[in-house]
Amino acid sequence: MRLFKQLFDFDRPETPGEVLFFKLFELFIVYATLNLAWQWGFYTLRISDIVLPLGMARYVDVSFMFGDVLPLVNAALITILAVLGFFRVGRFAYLAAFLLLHLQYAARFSLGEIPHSANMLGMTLLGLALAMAAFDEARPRRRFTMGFTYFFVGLGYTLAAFCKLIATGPSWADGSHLWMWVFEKGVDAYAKTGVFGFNFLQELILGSHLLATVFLTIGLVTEFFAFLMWWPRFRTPVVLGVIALHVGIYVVMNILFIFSMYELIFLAFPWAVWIDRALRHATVRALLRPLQGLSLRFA
Amino acid sequence: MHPRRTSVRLLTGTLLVYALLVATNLGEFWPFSIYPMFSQGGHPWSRALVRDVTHADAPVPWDTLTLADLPGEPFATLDHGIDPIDLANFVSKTKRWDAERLDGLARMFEAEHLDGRRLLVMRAHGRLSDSDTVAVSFVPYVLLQQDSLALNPHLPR
Repeated sequence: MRLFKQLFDFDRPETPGEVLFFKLFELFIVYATLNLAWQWGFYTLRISDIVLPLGMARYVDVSFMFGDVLPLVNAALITILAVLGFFRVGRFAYLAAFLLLHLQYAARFSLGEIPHSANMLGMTLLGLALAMAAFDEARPRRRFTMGFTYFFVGLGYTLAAFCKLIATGPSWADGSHLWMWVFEKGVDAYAKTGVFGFNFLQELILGSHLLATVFLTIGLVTEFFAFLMWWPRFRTPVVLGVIALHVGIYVVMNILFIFSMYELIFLAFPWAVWIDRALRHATVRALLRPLQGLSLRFA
Repeated sequence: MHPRRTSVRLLTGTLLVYALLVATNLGEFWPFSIYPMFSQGGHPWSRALVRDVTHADAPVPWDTLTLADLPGEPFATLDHGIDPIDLANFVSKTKRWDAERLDGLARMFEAEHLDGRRLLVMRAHGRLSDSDTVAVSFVPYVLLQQDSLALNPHLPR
């Protein structure tokens, strides 16, 4: 199928820039995984109640994670497994880390909040896990991980657009809806910091129904067409559009998915091409040799 | 097996698992999601905040209030390691305020936060008014002190 060729392109020769970029991307995913595992672990120490079970907590009572240091033990296990996966010790290390991270998520988010800040990372970790488990050779592992990531990131945003159109219809883009969310997030910020007020852009939006409607319309269209990132020729503009969407969400609604933003920056640009160009220079080659060695040794 | 065949199986298999899990779990099974957040435009919302009423002269009002009428001083949850979204969901999704629920709420506030203080947990409601403006009201829910707590008498126990 043409789409699979666009996503994975297993037959295309690989460049040194691609190999190095992938290892750097993988390093970021591991770092983000460990950051979340420990962040969630420490917060779970303060939880004693399940208000809304999510994920596996809907089937398994995860209250055994409360009242003890188990969340930190789990974070330590995830750390060990992620490091083992990074250094290619065992085929299933990343898969085990993924499953334990899901448990960590289910324990941490049992008080009612349903966050989406770590979904992109979770899907990418799953892609890495499947790649390591299913492929013997390094190139198909890399190509599969990246293709899987682009597929599910694009799908996620397009699904979000469909949800809005199904739940509310085209009138979802009505500017008064954005006013409601600006006030909602304003109260959240007030709760967090003790200060109530709106920034310049929020004031502009609250003062103009038309501007608020335009904002929501651009956001909805950006989400709807996100699936176009499945095709390499559309990747950079579409992912940049998604980054701009998140910048807008941050400025207007004070919501920032920082790891998703970093990951989108990895996905937006032809970093491998730029690295290949840079590697033509002897100085750069000398500087990057240790990293290249690492990326080849643990490919 | 050619990697293309393996990748087709893995991708379609993941899609099937994705569809099954979100279909049977109200759209959410991390990391799989249909991303329904902010899909319902114009619906009323509910959040929570905390006021420090330690030095407030008047008794705690259990009535619905506006922003201008809020008692005491702001209590910044971020400074005290409390996630306001957790708090908001805890307050809005609790249907019966029994002893276990009240204990769960109290545990979100570590002992040092309550030392010598009186903290009032309030629920905020937002809705679009008839004139297409946003109306926000605040309802006091629970008054927390070091060794005691008081629940709004109008809430179900």
